[in-house]
Amino acid sequence: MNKQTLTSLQQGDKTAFAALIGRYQKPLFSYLGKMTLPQAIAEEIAQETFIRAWQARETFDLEQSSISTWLFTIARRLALNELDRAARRFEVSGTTTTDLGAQETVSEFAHADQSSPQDLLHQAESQQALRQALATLSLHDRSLLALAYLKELEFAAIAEIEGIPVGTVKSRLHRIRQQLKNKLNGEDFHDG
Amino acid sequence: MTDKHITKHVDIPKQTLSDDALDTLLSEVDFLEVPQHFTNKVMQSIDEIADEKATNNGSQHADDQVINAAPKWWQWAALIGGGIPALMQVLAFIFSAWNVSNLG
Repeated sequence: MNKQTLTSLQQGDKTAFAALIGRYQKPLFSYLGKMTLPQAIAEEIAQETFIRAWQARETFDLEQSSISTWLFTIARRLALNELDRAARRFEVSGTTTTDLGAQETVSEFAHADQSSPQDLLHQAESQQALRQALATLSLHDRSLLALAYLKELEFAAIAEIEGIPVGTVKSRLHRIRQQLKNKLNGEDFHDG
Repeated sequence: MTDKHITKHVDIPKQTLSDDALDTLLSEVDFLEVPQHFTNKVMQSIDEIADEKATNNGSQHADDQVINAAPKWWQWAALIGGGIPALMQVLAFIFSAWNVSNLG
């Protein structure tokens, strides 16, 4: 988004803000999906993110930060709070957060491609396995990994959102990817 | 993030997943879909919040006007007209209580 659009957005231009939503809704849902949030909750969080951004638009400093960093910082905070609350609720009921929205995965992706039914099934299985593996990561690791796979964000932006140095982002990312790969390759995981 | 996104198509084996396959999977997978008319929904919520705020501000402003207005002559008359009999009643009650205790 250019500076002029952002300036008019800050001055209360709703058309500019609608354009901002159009631009960032897909990466935002992609992030929230990798955070293993179910569709309905992700929708609420995404909506709340944009509402808060609109309400705080005048305080946003164009010189200091990028709009994507700002939006994902809001979304991250909301998502972590929600997952933390959910984890505490499920601790009481004896369920795990791994189950959150897991049942949606296969049906969502079964129609995503033009491949053969066997390929689609394999793809859906891989995605479900990935979702379950993601859910076993800590919330902060999950957030870092989800941000890292967004095309919109550079390492510096991820570091700013997470509030850690760039070097730490890289080293943590390496460790998380390794951990995720081990989980996906582990026999116990597939049997589970 | 271009250095992290290797856009190779790699078959994902059932049991072992390579680094490239993991990258591909994580880059390409989208667990959620953007709901239809999402932008409209958000803009509608923003409008509703703005309307609600304006309504609240309006009623708050009306309340402030009532509170801050200077008292009218009839408000003083009502206060004195109601206040004097009330004070007399209290005094009468105290006198009768004192009278009863003196008699007893």
